[in-house]
Amino acid sequence: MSFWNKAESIDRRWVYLMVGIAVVFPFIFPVVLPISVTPEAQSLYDYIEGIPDSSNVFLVFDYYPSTIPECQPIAIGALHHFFRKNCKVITLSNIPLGGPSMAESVTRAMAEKYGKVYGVDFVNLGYKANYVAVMKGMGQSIESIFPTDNLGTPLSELPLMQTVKNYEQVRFIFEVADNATADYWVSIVNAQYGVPMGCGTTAVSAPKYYAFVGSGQFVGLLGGMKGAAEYEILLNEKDDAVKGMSAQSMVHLLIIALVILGNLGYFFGGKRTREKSS
Amino acid sequence: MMTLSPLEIWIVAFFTLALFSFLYKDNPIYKIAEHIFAGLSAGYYVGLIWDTVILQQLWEPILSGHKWSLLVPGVLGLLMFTRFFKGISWVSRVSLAFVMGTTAGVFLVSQLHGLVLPQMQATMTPATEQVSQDFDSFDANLHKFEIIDSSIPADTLSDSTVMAMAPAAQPTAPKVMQEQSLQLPQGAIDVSSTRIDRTAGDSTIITARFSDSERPNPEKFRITLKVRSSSDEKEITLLEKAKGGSDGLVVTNLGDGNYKATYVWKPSNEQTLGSYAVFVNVERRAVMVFLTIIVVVGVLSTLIYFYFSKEHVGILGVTAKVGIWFIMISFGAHFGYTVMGRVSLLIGRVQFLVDDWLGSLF
Repeated sequence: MSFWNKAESIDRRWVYLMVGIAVVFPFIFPVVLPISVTPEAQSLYDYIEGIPDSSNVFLVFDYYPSTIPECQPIAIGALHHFFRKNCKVITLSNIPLGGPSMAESVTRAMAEKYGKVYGVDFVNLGYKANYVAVMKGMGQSIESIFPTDNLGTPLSELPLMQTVKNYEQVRFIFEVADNATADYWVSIVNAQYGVPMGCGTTAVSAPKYYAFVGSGQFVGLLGGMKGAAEYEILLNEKDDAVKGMSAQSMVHLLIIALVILGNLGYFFGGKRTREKSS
Repeated sequence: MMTLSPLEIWIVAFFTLALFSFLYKDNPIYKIAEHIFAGLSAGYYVGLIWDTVILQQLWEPILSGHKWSLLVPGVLGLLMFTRFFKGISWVSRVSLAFVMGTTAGVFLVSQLHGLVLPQMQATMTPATEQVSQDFDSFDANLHKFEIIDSSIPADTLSDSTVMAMAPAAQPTAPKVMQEQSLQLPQGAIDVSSTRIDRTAGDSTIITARFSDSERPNPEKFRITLKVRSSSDEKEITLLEKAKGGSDGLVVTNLGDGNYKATYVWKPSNEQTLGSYAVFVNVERRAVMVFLTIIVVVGVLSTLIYFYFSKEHVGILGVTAKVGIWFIMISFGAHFGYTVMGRVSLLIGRVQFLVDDWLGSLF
């Protein structure tokens, strides 16, 4: 069997092993590769930068634990930015599995760093089923949808929620999502209530949401770990996303090499000739 | 963000490696991990819904709030369980009909108004880029203009007012503040000079002169005008992306691609006394011709590819083939992003194994 025949029929487990090595290598021997900031990330950063200090903002944790590596750095970046500007952050989730607890742990850890007080500077509303009803209902009254916060405290006992009754008091919504809930935030809340929105999403979803930036429905977009790394650079808070991008680049280089090798094997290994003759 | 105990770290590491073992081949340890995950997810979901929906939004409002109208959705929800009884399973269709009706009603408007129309509008609008130029005097400290309300005699000013005034603000009738050349911008807008005048009375005319080599209609410009007090660094936004004719802004075409933007700032009270740095931003959207052509060709050819009422031959066939190319490029972009997404998930797990698990061992 020639080299090219072997190249086109390589056992997939060798590919897994090579990918594994490519991911682990940069963590043991750190490699610094440049990361450029896209206009979509820059415009999101600039927009939030332009929000008046102490504004009320929504930060929506619409992602499952499985996408933490992509979405959590985005949420952390958003919290850095909001808390630096002394914005009042209201978090919630339309994702039952992990959403409310991730919002709780991440926001509290960040709030502790910035010396923010629960109920005054931030509130976690938690989760409520049926996101369409939740999004529409909050346009009338947040309290009617979330009578209590995530830990069961009535909203009437939280000072921040005395000033935020519905979307009219919300200056900006930052949606962090790994699914299609971002579509509904756009079509229901942004379109019908006119609240400006920005989005951080998984890489898989990012191509779809570029159209929303083009139409002006999102002020900006962070796509996957790359988007999170861009935001960390803009905030000067280099963390997990920036660290992970070196491994990301290594794997991409490996995949490009494997695609080229596979195609060369296809052309020179005789499979193409066999397919043509059959 | 979440601090785990050593035992929790070991549990997470075990299940991560158990699931990764599938990469070699299917095995009982992988099956155990998969089933535990499915069971835990279902149990957590049921508990969450019971607490946040059934108890919080149905049971408690009825019992303590006496909201009897909630019995209607409660009964409709119970009717769904009739599906488990053969003879009366048809009753569940009443609830389903309600769900379908409300869903259609909500989505028809929101999808059309919030997604279809804005996306169509964006597709039909020429692709543009923002061309802008800042006259930024905050850092350069070049433009210092005296803003003094002459209607208030100097001897009646309070101490706090005097404190708010910069030392340079003492002269009483500065008319022309400063004029200076600015650097030429990168884009098509060509800013040559800016000038701020102080008029008599209690208002100040702020004038920005700029030129644009493409000579668009004055209405194309959006002007942002801010001032920042040099005493307390307080920033006041006078105009935010305003166009000529709105918010008191006048944009005049001086000919030969030169324009003048004029705004009359009327200080409202003594807090506006003092010395201010001025920031002017002029921007307009410039049509990106090449990108616009790509969008038009891409949309039309892709739509024609999905037109199946006529055989794809001749010009229709050629156009459909162009459409396939656009679709393939789109698939390529999606594939690239999908690879990045999946690799990110692997990186997250490896980060945990290397930093948290192995890091706790050594």
